[in-house]
Amino acid sequence: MAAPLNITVSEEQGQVPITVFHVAGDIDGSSYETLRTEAASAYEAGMRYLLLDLAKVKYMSSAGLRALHNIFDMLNADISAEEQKKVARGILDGSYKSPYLKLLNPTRDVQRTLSTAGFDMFLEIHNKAKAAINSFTQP
Amino acid sequence: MPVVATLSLVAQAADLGQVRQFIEGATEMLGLDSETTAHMRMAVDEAVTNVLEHGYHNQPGRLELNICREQTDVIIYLSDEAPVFDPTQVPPPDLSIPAPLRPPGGMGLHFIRQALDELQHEALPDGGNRLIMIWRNVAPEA
Repeated sequence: MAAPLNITVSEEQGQVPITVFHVAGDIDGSSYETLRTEAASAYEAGMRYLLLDLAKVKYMSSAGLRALHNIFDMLNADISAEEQKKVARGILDGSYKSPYLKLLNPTRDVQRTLSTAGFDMFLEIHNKAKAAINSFTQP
Repeated sequence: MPVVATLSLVAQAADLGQVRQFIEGATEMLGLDSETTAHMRMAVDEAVTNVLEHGYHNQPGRLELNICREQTDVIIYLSDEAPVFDPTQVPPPDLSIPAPLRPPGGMGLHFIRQALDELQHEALPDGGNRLIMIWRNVAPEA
C-alpha cells in the first residue's frame, strides 16, 4: 500500500505571512483531494501565500497536477479582472510565476511530472526553504 | 508470450499504491532500469486511474494486469469490465496553450503516451476493454 498522504502545516513570516504544507506520501488519484481540501480549508482561514514542501512526495500523478492547478486558481481568484489579464499575458509569454504558490524540494520523479506538464513554467521551484520563504513578496 | 506477473483485483482508488508496487516488483524481476520502471509505473497508474474514474465512476470495479515479456519488449495488458472506451482515439491536449490556461485535468492520457512506445486498445468480446501498453527494447536479453 502507498503511504497515506500526510500534510503538516507550519506558518512562516517573511515579507508576507506564508503557510507551508509539508506533504508526505504519494499524490495520486486516491489522495489529491486531501491536498485540495486542506488548501481550501487554509484559504478559508485566511491563507494567501502557500509553499508546498514536496521533499517527501515520492510520486505524483496527473491527479496531483489537477490539485496544484485548482490551488493556483484558488489563490489567484482574489485579483482584479485587470490583473487577471496581466497574469494571462504573462503566462502566455512565459514571464509569469505565481507570487502566491511556490514549490520546495520536489523529488526527481515529481520534478519530471511537473516539467512534462509545463507546471515549472509558472510555479517557482526552490531547493532551500529560507530562499523560498524570502522569495514571497506582496505582488 | 510468457506472462511474467499478474494482478487481479476489484479495485478502487485506494488500491493505486498496490498497483504501483506490483509494477515495481515486476520491473525488478525483469531487470529493468529505474527510468523504464518510472515510465511503466506512471503509465499504469494513469491508465488505472482513468478506468476507475471514467469507466467505473469511482465505484469498485474488476481489473486485471498482465505483464508479459517478448524478447526485449515488455507488454502490459490492462483489462477491465467498464463500458467500451478507446483512449487511442482521444486527441492529445493542446500543449501550445500554457498549463494554467487549460482546464484542470486531462493530462493523464498525455502522460501515458509520453511514457511508452505504443498504445493499443481492444474491445473485449464479452464487454470491457483491454489496453495494451508496449515498451520496445527495454528488457535485458534473456
